[in-house]
Amino acid sequence: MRGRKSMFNPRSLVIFVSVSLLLLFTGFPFIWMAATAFKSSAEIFVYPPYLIPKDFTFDNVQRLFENTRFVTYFKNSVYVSTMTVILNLIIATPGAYALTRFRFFGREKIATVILFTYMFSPIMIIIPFYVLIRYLGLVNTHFALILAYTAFTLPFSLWMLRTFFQSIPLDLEEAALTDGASRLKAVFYVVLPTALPGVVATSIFTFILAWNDYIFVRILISSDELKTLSVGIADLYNSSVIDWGMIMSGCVLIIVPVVVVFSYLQKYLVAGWGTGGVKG
Amino acid sequence: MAGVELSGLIKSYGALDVVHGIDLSIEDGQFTVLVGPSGCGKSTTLRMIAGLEEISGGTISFDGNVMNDLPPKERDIAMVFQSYALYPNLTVGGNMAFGLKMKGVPKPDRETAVREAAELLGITELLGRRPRTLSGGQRQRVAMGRAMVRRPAVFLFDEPLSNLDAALRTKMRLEIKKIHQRLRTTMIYVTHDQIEAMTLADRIVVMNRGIIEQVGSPQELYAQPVNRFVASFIGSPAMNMLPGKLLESGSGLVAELACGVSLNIPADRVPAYRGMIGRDIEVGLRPEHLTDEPQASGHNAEFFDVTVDVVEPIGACSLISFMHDGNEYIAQGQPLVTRQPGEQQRLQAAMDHMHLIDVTTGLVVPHKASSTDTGAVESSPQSTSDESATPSGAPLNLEKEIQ
Ligand SMILES: Nc1ncnc2c1ncn2[C@@H]1O[C@H](COP(=O)(O)OP(=O)(O)OP(=O)(O)O)[C@@H](O)[C@H]1O
Ligand SMILES: [Mg+2]
Repeated sequence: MRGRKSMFNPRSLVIFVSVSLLLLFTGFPFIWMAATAFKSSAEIFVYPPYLIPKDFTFDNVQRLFENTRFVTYFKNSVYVSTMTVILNLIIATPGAYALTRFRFFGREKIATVILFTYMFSPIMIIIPFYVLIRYLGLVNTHFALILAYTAFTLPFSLWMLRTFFQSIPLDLEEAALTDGASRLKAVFYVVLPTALPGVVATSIFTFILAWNDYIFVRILISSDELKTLSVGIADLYNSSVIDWGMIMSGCVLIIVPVVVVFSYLQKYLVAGWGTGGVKG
Repeated sequence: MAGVELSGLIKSYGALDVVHGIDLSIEDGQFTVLVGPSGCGKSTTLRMIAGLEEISGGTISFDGNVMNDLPPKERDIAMVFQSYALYPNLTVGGNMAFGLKMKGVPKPDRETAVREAAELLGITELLGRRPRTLSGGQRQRVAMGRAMVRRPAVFLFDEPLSNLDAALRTKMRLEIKKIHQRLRTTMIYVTHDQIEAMTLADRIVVMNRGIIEQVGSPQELYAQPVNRFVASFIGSPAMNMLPGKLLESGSGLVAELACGVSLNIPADRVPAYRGMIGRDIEVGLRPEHLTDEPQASGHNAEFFDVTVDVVEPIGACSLISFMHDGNEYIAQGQPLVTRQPGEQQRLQAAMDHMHLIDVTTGLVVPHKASSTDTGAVESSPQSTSDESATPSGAPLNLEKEIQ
């Protein structure tokens, strides 16, 4: 009752309408994409256009799997993104920990400078990066991509994890130490689990960046079987007849797993363990 | 179980000296309380014993083994933190078992040990819950349990009760004492609350500005403080310090107070105090030795009149505040007598319990009863029992304090 009443007060109504419009505006391309993915080729260009497919079909998806290397691209994307997340955590976790727990010369400066590097957009350094990668003989390898993404996400990851580590009371670690843990064990059993929301958030950020990247793959990867989804799907435009239904079904398949995984992980992001470890 | 020995223990943070060379020897099984005002270095000392803080100088040894450079896990200690520091990601049971897990104790044994400790503390039904769902008192118990499960050689407590409300604090205080009586493990307990110190300790270490002012049993510190700091820090309400001069009067001595009152010094103290003649002194009298009983009750009673300022009835007695010379003092009055502010009141000072404080040095001038042992801070473990009556005062080291 209360909800309905407030819906009709002018203020709420204005907010409701504007939010709906905004949602429609940002969401419409996605809705259209999803609709197109399940329309038959004949339906896609019908005028006037309509949203809901009359003749719901999986042909597009089938063609995607049969005629393209979609599965390979997908595997590549999963592999590269996952490895980026892992490499990132391997470097950023001890790095951020050191930045919060050990006192050393220029600690705060280092922390600030780290974030500085995040200011540069990929396009600015992609040429030097390419030269470097070629020098190392890593052109056209997944490892080059993983390195590139790690380099780009590391500053943010360090900064983010640092903030989380800072928020973990030192007492917790000291309690673990007096409980007979080594420092490594204290970090592993107490600090990391407590910082789990931070670790998850960092991983999501890293994963999304790697998953969505286009420019590095375009420049560093030349073999078709090494391409990831973004470039793989984009290259479907190159054929003489553009198969919109197939491309759109590919796009849907890029987005769906990401949405599923992250709506699951979200609970770790917001919940954490709650307070109660320290203080009464 | 282990005895703990600190010698010349120093801590500095850069140029800032925080602990100025502490010598202390704690017998195996003893309950020792470090007490002192905020910022005096109690926690720092405790953390050095735990191995959480680097030592800048001196040595710490357990049962003769130097611990200086060992990490906490090799010291066989358990610590209860003021914040409790429960692991938020583990259940209560997981918290309590953590130490044993780190030790590599197999799971069934861990569970038995946890269950035993939980029963002792009455928290069995909490074992499956997470810390965030517990009340402050429950968290405190869990923190105690976590320390107990490990059967450490030394227990360390850093103000474990200060986040609890008054009633709960009293209750837990009793429980900690019971636990000590049961386990008989060496316990070192830090607090700034002198009542907690008095009630818990076998031995109290009074600290101030990074040095030890005095070490002794609660009774010793109460009856024979060695200096003004200890005299006014121990006891609540605090000891009254009446400023004045010590003068000769016939064959005896008299304390001529600034407010005009003169108090005769008991004859048996005269030889000890003779050296103070003509000097600025303070007469220290606890409220219970400054009463409103009209009849002299022995103790070399001296009488003087004051104007009542505030009366606080606290049941067993009333606390009578009065102003003298701009300072406020407290006397202990009979509970049933009602008094009005502004009323005149005759007070009786039990001069046998007085302390004479030399204002220039801040030391309590020793007399017969307390002069037997005012040597240096105890340096070796004594073979006396816990309730040892050996006075072991550490006189204030002024030079060190001034640094
Ligand atoms: N990391 C540090 N750096 C510099 N000074 C410090 C540091 N830690 C403590 N100190 C100083 O050392 C002194 C003693 O601190 P400590 O924590 O031992 O006091 P405390 O006796 O436990 O007081 P409280 O009753 O308030 O807990 C304080 O003056 C404090 O400011
Ligand atoms: Mg402290």
